[in-house]
Amino acid sequence: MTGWDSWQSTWAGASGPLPDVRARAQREASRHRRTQVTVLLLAAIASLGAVPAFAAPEGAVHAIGWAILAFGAAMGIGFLVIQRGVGSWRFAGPREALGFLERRLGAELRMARLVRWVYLGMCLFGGIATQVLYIEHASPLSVRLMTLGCFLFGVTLAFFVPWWFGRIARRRQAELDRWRSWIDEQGL
Amino acid sequence: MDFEQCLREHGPALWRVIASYAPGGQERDDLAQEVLVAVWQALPRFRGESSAKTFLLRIAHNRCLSHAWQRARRPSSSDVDLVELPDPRPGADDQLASHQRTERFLGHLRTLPLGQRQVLALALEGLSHAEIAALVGITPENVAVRLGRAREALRRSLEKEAA
Repeated sequence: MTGWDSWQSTWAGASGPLPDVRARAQREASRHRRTQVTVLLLAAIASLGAVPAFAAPEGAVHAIGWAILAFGAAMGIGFLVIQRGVGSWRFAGPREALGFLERRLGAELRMARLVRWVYLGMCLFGGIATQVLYIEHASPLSVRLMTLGCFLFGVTLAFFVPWWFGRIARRRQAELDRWRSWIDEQGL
Repeated sequence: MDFEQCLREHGPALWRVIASYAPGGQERDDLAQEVLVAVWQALPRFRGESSAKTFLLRIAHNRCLSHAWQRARRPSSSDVDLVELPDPRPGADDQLASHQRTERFLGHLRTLPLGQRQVLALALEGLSHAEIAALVGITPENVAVRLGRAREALRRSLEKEAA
């Protein structure tokens, strides 16, 4: 028997017990389904918050209602699109997976910047619209200041999201770089 | 194809892939769990674009590479080979000798760099150069080069032990 045949015979004869993972796999699948339902439920609840706005006679309040609905829909649809994307990953090797992760990191950074400006726009619009309504209805100053404070907090938060995300992204990029060096070392 | 049928037909091939990455004991058991859960999750996406065996080997190798990466970051004490105790049943000596021969061979295989180990394991599994190329994501020429180097390295490692 030649060396290769002997190796192949040893290899083919190698076998051992495999664990029964059905219970664990079912648990993970149901946890995945629960997460999906929870996120969609939260998006639906957020959207329900818009319903009272449509009962008001003012057009500005309706606009706020539409903005909340758009936010809920974007969250729900975005989540489903991401989930579908996760399910359809197909990589031939680790380099493709690494390339994908780098592209995704770049997309997430761009998304963080987009969120900054969209959320900033929403807060400015919401802040101005509510102040206009409060003035029309001669609402107390304390209510006006509190609402304004909430919107300013939202603006500050939105402004710092990309900065905070950038810090996380740098750590993840460093990890991907270490992964790339290891792939090179292993000749993959 | 359902999960049970998949394990009946390709379970031994999956076990061999796992054993070529994990030395044994708890580490091998944990990796086997990871691979089988990944197979369970991936099976509904199987569309018959490749053979079932190629599909499963791709999942197993990719999951094992992730494991090897985690292991490289956090080396554990499970690198030490386990001591086998003799089995008192009749014919157990032959079984033990065969088991030890297999584990020794797998131990030598695990000393190869992953790029070579992966190609050699798939060739031993009976896949053609074209199938290995498609599975690993390299050209068939590159498969031939890696396979040649892997065979040479494995032969040297086995000879070194014999000497």
